[in-house]
Amino acid sequence: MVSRSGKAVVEFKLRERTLDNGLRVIVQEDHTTPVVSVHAMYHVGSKHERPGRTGFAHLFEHLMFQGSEHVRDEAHFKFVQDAGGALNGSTWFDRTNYFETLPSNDLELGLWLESDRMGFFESAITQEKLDNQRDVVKNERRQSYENRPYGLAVETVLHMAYPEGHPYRHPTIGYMEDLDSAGLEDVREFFRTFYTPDNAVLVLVGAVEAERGFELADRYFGEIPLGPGAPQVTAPTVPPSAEAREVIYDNVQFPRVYLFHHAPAFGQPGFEAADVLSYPLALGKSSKLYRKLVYEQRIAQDVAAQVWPTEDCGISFIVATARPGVEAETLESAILDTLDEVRGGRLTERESRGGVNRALQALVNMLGGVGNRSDAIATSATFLERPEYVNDIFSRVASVTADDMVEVANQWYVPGRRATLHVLPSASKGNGE
Amino acid sequence: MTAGAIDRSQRPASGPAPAIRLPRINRFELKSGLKVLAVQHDDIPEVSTRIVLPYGSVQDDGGKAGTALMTARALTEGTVERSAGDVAEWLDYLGARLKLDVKYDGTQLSFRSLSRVFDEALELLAEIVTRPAFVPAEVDRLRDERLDEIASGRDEPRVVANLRLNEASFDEHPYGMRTGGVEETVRNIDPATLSDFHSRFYRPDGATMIIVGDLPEPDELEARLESTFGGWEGRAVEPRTLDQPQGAEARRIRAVPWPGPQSEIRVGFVGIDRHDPDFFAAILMNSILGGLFSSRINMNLREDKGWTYGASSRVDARKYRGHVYAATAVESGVTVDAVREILAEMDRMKTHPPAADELKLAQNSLTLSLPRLFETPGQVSGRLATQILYRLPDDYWENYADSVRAVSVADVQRAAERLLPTDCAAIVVVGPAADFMADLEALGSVEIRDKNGRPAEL
Repeated sequence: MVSRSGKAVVEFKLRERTLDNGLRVIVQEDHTTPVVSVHAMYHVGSKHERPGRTGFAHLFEHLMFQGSEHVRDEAHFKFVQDAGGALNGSTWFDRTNYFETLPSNDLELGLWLESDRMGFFESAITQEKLDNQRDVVKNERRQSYENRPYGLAVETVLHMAYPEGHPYRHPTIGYMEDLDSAGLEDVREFFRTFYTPDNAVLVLVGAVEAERGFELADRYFGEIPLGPGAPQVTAPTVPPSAEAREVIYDNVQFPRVYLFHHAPAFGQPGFEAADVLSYPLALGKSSKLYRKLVYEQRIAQDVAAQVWPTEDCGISFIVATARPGVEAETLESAILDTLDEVRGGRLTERESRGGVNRALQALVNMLGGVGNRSDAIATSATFLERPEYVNDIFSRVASVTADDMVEVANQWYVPGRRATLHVLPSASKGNGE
Repeated sequence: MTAGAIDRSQRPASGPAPAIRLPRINRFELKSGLKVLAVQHDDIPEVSTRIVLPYGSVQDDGGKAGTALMTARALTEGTVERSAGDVAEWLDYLGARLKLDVKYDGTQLSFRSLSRVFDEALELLAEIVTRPAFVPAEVDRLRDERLDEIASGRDEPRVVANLRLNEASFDEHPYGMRTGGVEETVRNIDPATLSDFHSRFYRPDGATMIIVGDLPEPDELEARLESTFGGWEGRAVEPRTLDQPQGAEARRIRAVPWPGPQSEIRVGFVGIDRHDPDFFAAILMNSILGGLFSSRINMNLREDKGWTYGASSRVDARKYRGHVYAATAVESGVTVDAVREILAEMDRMKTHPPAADELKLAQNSLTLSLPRLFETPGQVSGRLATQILYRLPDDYWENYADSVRAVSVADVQRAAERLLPTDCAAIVVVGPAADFMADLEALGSVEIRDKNGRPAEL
């Protein structure tokens, strides 16, 4: 990609060093803005949870903000806000991350906070904090899932798409009843097992010299002992089988169709092709599904497609909401016709180029800020052991062709790899439809 | 490598504060009167091009609320040169993205593209902004889509709560109307409504273009803009002026029955306009009350009681007196207790003024975050747009930190007295109302509304 200012490509120069305790430290210097992102990613997520303890990895993430040995209760947020920083954490199937963006002169504050909860967390945890955050998380589940239209659709689809015992079968937020069963001993054991330096990566992006970044990382994290070796979990690819189908009812007025397909995992062959295919398929007003469902036939209010960046086996969704008076079946068959078209090779060179262009724009935009960039670097390091993959994404996306997309559709977007969910208005239940 | 012992008992000392990278703005005006602010910000090969119009939904004809929003949406649905489908195809082929933001006092059209297609993107932007066709069939479709969107909003308790609060706080004032209009008003909009709005307000003399990113040389940029936007002509009509909204004289409590595990709660007041001398006192008061994670409301409702995933407050200062409100969603069993706690925290802002370190934290969070808020082209452009829309001085961001630091504890307390008259609060609860009606009535008389805001029975 040639920019006006003469930059040939977007390429981030990465420096990496591993501390004696196994903590991988990656620095990407960027002095254009006096900020720095401190990003700690642990290789543990909802897929590592034991049966009956769904939601635990996420509940644990909440506890990590409740203070550690040298950071008093409730002080973590205050320190970062008092420094003008922003912070958060998130839990995914395969990893959990914690990050702050700080003015560059407070880099050490971020390192102090992250190292204290990596090395000195256990003494600060109490039953009271666990109970409080359990209540908070239950309210998060109510707010973001149960009391939101279509909010339970994704967890229903995951349950349909994966067999009993599969690590991706349950949602990261977990089930209400499982949240109740977590105790303090679970918290301690989880921490000792997974929150070890050798199961983590620390990424610093922004106004920090690499050598100083390594030196400070060693000073703050170096004394934390190596862990016993976190047991890793690999979610197996699900072999093709009969399409799973279900109907659920929700407090909504309009039917919505979820078409889940198994897909390539993050960084695996076909991942970028599947990601780029989302554009000519459903993103943008020129996309096939928007044109057909929303613009021409006017049967849908909206349509979208996305591929989720998972580590082991991939997840993709096509979702469309019906206009008033339109049945879910009508939407579904229009989507399936379009998938047939794509599988049959009806994807023009121009549609394909447009998809690549939109994907590149989204990528450049996303990686422009130090926060998202550190996340992408940490994800590449954690899932692929290759932080520099963050740079490969540009060329991989840029080189996706129409043939690649047709191939990925033929391999993945087929009935044997599909789970179809219709979410219908509760009011229509029992009307014999 | 060896780890030297460090003292973990103390927060590490901060290094010397870095210089903030405030944008260096190249200001010029095209022959048409269009004002341009250009900022070279070339960390990444991207350009953010934003057109700011100081005219928003309050310019809608009252019976046709939704006009400003639909006019903006119609821009891409066909021009004098191209059909809607062709515009969509070209926009998508370029990989450009258009984001529309229509608020009460202003309209922003933000266009993002890679810098390698900047020329083409600029031409397309000029085409859709200056030469839209408002084709009847497309406008009819947009109107149906807007009606669908309004209907779908009724499935979302948080949307219902926001809309009902707006009505309760602003009553008949235009700020009480939804920016995108309601079913009855949207139905009255036709192609002529949109082309009329466009001809009155989409004019170069009122507009400002903010271009941030990996830009061409200044001379070349100006030439490109003259050649693309040079044909834009005409003068905008004088916008409608409004009376200042007035706060209620008594509590207005409205409950919308909603079956669900949580209740959405809103507590609101008519606040301040953007030029109010108490603006900085108000935003600091808000940071202490509910603007930050560690603010009082969130620490109480979430971190102490575990009733919610989050509780927050906001000061939305507009051209006229805007909104001050608190929002949360709580487990429905504690609905009225949560309303009481929010009101109590608001009163406590007056009786328990912030401790010195509480004010200091709020000031630091607003001032030390400045480097972070000018990082990406989109952020820079957004901050400049606020300056334009509210006619803030050119040196606004240069002086921002001093203005924040000048606020005293007494100022915060005064702002709380002024902005949080809890006896006259608008209170909206969307939840299983039958379960808590009796308790809620202890706070004042309660009106039951349906999801659309119409009077209803329990």
